[in-house]
Amino acid sequence: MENAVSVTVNGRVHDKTIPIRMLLVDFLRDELGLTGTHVGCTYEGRCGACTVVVDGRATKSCMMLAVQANGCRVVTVEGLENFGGSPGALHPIQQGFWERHGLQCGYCTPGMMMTIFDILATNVREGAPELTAEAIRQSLVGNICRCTGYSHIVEAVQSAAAQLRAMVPEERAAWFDTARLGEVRA
Amino acid sequence: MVQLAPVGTYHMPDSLAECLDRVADGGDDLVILAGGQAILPLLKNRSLRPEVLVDLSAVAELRRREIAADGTLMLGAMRRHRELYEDRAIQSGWSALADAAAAIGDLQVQNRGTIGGNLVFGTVLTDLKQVVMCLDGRLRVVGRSGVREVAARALFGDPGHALLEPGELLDSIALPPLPERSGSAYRKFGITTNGRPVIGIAAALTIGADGICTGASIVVGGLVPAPCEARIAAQVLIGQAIDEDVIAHAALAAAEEIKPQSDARASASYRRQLVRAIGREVLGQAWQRAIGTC
Repeated sequence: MENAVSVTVNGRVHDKTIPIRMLLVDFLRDELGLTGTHVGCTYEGRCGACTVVVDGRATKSCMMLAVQANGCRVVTVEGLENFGGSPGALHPIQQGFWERHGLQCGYCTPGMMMTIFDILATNVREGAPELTAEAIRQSLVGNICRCTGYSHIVEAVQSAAAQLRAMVPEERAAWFDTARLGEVRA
Repeated sequence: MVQLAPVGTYHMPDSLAECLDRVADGGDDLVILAGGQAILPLLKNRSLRPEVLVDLSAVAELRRREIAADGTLMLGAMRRHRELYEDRAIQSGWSALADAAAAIGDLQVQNRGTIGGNLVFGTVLTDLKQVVMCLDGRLRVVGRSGVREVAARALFGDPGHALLEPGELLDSIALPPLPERSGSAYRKFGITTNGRPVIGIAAALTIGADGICTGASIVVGGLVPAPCEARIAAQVLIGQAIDEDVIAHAALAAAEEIKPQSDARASASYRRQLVRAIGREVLGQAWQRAIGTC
């Protein structure tokens, strides 16, 4: 009925015994108190608000059991600010949303940011080529926003991509290197 | 918080042998988790109330990806959709498979969803069945009693034919290399972007140096009870010098030879219209790829 798991979330290793039937999103929100990961569609896997990054890949945390994350490295929206190495340093994704006003009510924003983390990490691995608006929209198919009409979100991603292109490759890669978050036992 | 029905045991075997033992011993209350993108909703609404969950994601054998000496592509059942369309060999050699994988659900689904889940899950309305049929794929099925192979065309084209016996698993698929000067493509129409196919068409064409089509394979999915090979449409193409008009003629033939159903998502006549429209696009794309212009 219950299994022991060890999950690294934003650089902190959490050893917990949890019910097999617990979804990853409930583990993050209720067990760890990381309520930045949102539930927008009553767990139907349709809205993308609960998207987190699991071993580098954007994943809807309501579409995965917490026991399946055993041994995985998870990044949530709360982890983004830890990549900069100094307190309060915004991740280029956050900076992009700030500059281009990529949100209104903000409910979808954590999921948007974590999907974008995956898109930009892939783009950086490929040498940070230009991202077209169409490619960004295609990548965000699984994240629903009911306020913005998406245009400012697309601009926010392009702003983040432009910031990254202006960096040297090592600095660029560091913003997506989850090993930098460490492995401190919680 | 959402409560799934209580689950007694969760196994994450790390070898195929252990996996088969778990599946054979699990009885009727066992559910296999591949990517989970179709199964999780059923667990949430309690259509499934398993006692035992067997998660395949740690079985290395099911994640193999090899190209054999004869050029055959072998893909383990747990290869995920994203891994298919980001694979340069698949993009160039089996383009229809890359097209289809990139059009299944959204990025998050593509990151979790697997070939095996898409092929095995009990609905015909998925994308990969018609693609693997079109590319003349073979499925390798394993059980404790051994290994057997079955042709995708025979299997998925016949709705009465079950893929797996109790205790069996899909191990991998094998796709032969296409002949020289061939191209393949997949296009679909869903109610929502990248939704399940109302109509999805896979096509593969081989074009001789003189521009004459020497081979054509077209399979239409989104049909109940099974994807359908458009053989008459293929015959319209073979032996002809391919151009836009011949392609339009073939797409029309495909629309006429299939027997689409009417359901809540589309009427039969609308599905025929979709086959005409998407058929032109997908054949045009396969043709362009075969002659190397894209």
